Amino acid sequence: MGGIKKARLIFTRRAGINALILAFVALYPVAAGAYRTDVLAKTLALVILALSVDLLWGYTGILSLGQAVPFGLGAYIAAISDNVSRGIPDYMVTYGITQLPAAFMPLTVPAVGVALAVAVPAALSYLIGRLLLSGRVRGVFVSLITMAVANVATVYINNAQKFTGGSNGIGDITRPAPFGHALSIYGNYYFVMAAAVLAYAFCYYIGSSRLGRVLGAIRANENRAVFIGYRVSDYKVFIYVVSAALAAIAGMLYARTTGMVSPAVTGIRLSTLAVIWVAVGGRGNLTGAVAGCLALNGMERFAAGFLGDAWELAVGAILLLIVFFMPDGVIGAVLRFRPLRPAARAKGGGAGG
Amino acid sequence: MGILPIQLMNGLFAASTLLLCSLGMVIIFGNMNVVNLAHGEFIMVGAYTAWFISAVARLPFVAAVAGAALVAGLFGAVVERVVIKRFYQRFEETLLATYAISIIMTQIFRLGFSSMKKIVELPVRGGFEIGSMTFPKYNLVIVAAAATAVGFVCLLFYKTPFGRRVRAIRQNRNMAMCLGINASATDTLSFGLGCALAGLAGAVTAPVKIVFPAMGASYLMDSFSTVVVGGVDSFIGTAASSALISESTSVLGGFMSEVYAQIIVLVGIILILRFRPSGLFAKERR
Repeated sequence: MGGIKKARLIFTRRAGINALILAFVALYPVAAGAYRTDVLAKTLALVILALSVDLLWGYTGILSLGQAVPFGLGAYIAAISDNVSRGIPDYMVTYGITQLPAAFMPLTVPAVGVALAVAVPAALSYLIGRLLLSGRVRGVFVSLITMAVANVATVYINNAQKFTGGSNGIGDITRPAPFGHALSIYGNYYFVMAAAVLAYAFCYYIGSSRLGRVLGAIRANENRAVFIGYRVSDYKVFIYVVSAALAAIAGMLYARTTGMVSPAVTGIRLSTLAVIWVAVGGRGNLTGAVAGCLALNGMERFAAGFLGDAWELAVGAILLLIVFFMPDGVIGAVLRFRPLRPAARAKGGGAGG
Repeated sequence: MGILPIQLMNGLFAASTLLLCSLGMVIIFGNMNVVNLAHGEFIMVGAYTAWFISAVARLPFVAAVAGAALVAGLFGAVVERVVIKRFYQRFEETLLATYAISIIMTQIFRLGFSSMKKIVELPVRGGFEIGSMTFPKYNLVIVAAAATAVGFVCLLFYKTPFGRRVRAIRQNRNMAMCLGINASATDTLSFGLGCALAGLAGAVTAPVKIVFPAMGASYLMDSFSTVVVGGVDSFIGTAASSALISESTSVLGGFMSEVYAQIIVLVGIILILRFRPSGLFAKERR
């Protein structure tokens, strides 16, 4: 099979899987009730987080173990913005705040809240990225430091009770209101789904653009990309910030869908879970991230009933098996799977390469 | 007396704990270049073993510490043979595989021993006084254990044939193998040794910490920061950096909230990595 033919086969398969997933997600609310629809809407917000991980890890080879930080920051800013737009929230009153601090005033305007929910995590990621992605810091350390940032972020949010509600988190968040009034469960579902489809298209566009090819070169061999003349650290910081912004949007949608946020949304656990979804699904082809996120979250819902705590054990086992036997993830393996067809066998193997 | 001496003393005790917990990682991360995200879980295994030997089997604490090191070490050797071995020099796979191991270990202990906290009795009770301040006597045990462990590991690495083999493999694996060193056996031994040290740390610190299945996570970040700042493969550097990190967290924590102290220390670590990527105390290597 020739290279072009193979690429076309992979493209067709990927399009096929995407179409299946899209059809399933689009028709799901018809069969499922309001509750299940709302649950899947949450997962669709997490799909955007998984896409942001794939953009960073699968495309560029930067493995962040703290992708929940921009996600959680976006979620918290969206939550606070939503709450303060209706006066001083209850949890702030509990801690004795009677007048909204000046720093929170801009958040009372919903549009500004949305802008800040993306801008603040992006700015923070720019700072971290500038320091960590300079090329002299080894990839392992980037993973570990991003993990440490996630750790400290959780501790901080737990501690800043006055503004974040501490370990109780923030509740009473309304659904998004793009047209003036809050969406219904089904309206929100399709809103989040549209966002996820847009996020996929955006990542796909980046991947197939010139930028995407430079990112691929960085992943394949960073030094060589430097020698060719690309300013690799600028590219890395850029994609790090873009991916953070995407994660922040995911967090925002997540907060407004679940109606509550807790410190766990910024933590190491969610960060590593997102990486696990992408690793299990298969990195670098977007479809793997989507499928991995949907499948593992779906299985968790399904298994929680009879496995309980043992579900986590299953996640560990699945991850270990994937790393052992399917380094490209499930979707990666499906895309590359090539049965020897009778016609090809007759021609003598037919493995032209 | 002011608050500063108390902070400094507490910092010293914290530093000993940190050093004890990081030593295993210096071997596994620094010398073998393996990122072991299950490091904290090996500490957890050590702590549980210590709990089992001292609280359930009612044996003396020394037996608990020795048993913990043995169990964690053997377990580590098995993990190296079955999992780690396949992924040398591939850090992403190592990260994922060791993270999977850490989830599996945490969950097995949760299912086996429940999430309830286990209590390990202090083997040495009472306090001692310096000036007008009183500190628990057990803190001295931790300091002594940390000092002994560092001394032991330094001797082992720089004065024995085993240590020479480990260093030879690190410098040039192929050449070392050509000269007849059994690299894969040495890898298993040194990984096991790193895990045994983690287990020992878990046992020694068990009486002053909380023993529960998910305890590993907090140790992991602390150990990594320490090792990274120290210059991953240096025992003395790690000793210095654990002192630096604990003292600064402790002293800063005396003047501001603990959280801000943690943030400042993390920013410091990021800056150190940015400008000295191989750690503060690392020798220049080519």
